Amino acid sequence: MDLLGSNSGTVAFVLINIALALSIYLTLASGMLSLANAGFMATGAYTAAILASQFGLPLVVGFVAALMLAALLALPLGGVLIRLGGVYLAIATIGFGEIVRIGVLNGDRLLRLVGGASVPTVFNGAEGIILPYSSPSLVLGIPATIWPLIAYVLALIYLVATLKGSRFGRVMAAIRQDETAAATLGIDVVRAKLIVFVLGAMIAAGAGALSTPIVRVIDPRNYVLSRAVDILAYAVLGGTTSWIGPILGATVLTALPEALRSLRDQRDVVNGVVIMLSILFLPNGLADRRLLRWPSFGRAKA
Amino acid sequence: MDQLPQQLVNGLWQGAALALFAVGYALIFGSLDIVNLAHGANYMWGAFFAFLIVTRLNQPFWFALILAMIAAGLLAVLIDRLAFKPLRAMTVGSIVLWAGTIVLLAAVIVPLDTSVALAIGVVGAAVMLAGLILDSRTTRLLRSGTPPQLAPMIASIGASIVLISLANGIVGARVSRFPADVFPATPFSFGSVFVAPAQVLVLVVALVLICGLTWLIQRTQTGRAIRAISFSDRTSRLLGIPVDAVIGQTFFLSGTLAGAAGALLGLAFNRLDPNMGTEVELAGLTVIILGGMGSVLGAAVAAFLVGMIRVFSVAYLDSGARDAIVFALLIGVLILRPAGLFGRGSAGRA
Repeated sequence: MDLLGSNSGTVAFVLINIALALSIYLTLASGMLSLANAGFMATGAYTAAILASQFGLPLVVGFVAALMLAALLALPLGGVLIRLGGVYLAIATIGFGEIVRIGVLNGDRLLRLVGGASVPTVFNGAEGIILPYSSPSLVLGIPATIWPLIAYVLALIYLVATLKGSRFGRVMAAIRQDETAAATLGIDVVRAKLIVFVLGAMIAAGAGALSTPIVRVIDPRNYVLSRAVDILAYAVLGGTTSWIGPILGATVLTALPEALRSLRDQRDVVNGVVIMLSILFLPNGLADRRLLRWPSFGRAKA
Repeated sequence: MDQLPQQLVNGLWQGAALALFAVGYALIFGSLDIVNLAHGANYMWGAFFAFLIVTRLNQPFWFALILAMIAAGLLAVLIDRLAFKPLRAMTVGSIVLWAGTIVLLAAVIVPLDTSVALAIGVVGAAVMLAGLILDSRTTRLLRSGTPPQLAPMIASIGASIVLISLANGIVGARVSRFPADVFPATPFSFGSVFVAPAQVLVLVVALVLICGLTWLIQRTQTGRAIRAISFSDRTSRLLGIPVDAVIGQTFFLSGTLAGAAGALLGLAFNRLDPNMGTEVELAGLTVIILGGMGSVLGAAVAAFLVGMIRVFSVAYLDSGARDAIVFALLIGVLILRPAGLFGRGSAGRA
């Protein structure tokens, strides 16, 4: 029996978006606004899709390769970019995302420049890579393509929750609150931020890789700036003071447009208004401690 | 290399339009330290205001351009009151304004009977107006303290999503074009160089507006107030400058420039679609960073530079290379010289 029925698509996207929201949460929780997540997601998705379509390799291989490639890219990129503060980091990472998009759009031309005219079509430009459709088999009542996502999200939640209580989690919080003060306390700020940046990139790339059997059409338009903005919206709506926030935000903002299907083209109006209202009136997001522990409402003030 | 003069001309007028866009960006960043990511949506709406006035009301282009600039300016003021002002000074008026906005948006996006939607929309607009007036009169703040550093940028992203989505619903996601007879199309030819009248118009209007803005900032009372606020809004308030009113005027100026850029480029390329702001937004970010965040003159010079680079990379390299080169330049400048080519030296690294 299919437990999810026609909702399995929505469930899959909620899970993908939770993973992406957790990736941006990590950087936000260390005081960095990085919008490179869509670019890293594209890296992961294209890695897995190319390994599947060109070499017929299973998703596990694509997933591992995506994590490794993201780390390889994020390490030098983060090394130069994380020294930038605030909006400058945001703008530079927007630039990175666009370069990735333009890169995959023109990927075949680049390959032919290097390897000669005989190189087969790999990236397929704006049309993207189309993976063959196979009706997913049900495992325990849930489509088999969704199980890896469930496992991935659970692993991420475990990672992020453990991180929060660890020494490194406190280092992240210290950097977020005051970078200079953290540096004076002997924290290696640049190193900590670099670790977080690379970790965030790997999480996004992993989500991209695991999303390929579900989206099946991997084309550059899926990874434009507005995608990065959506990811940011999940984290902002949910709040970045705890890891529950991004999960809540991703779930609400992914399910909401499905519920608002009757609005058609203008569903995004609601998304935009929700982002604005939450930043104006709920600066700590939906997962605000004061909202979760409602009996102490009004008194709990940090 | 015989196409060099033609490419120079193309780079010149495209650079001028980009300058028009980026100067408004720089104005807001310079005076408020806000990266207004709704500026691209403002530009897009400027183009569509002009388009709707030309096609629905059958008005000549020059008239549509002026009206579109004013409308885009007012839209920018509204964005400030909705997205930015509540962060620096939330009043009861902000909440009333938001309530009206939500009612108005609901009337626009929920499929309803035309008369019902119209009635709800009018009520929403009336509440918004009341909210705006209340907001400008009240001095009692509901919240004090500075907002988180990135909050304004994220709020402007939300505003941008709303505006783009509204355009998708109202005008449609397809590409719109001005009718052929709206502006003369026969190009002037100088030897092997061809210049369309619309391109001349872009260049002339852009130069006039940028010079006008420079004069306004350097020589008028409003300009002095804007510069005072960019130095310190706290001190300005102590000196008796009506800070929120001046910020509103700054947003109006910035919006009119974005609207002019949108209407002019919409005409010159004759290609309008709801996502047209996103592309120019990214080029505009490169320009203001290259020019030194907040420096109006720097933004204008950098815009011509970026315009030339874009045109030449299409002509001599590859159309796909155009944006990649611009963004590589963006990252390069951020790393090597974060204060920009003309910056004051202090901006950049936190």
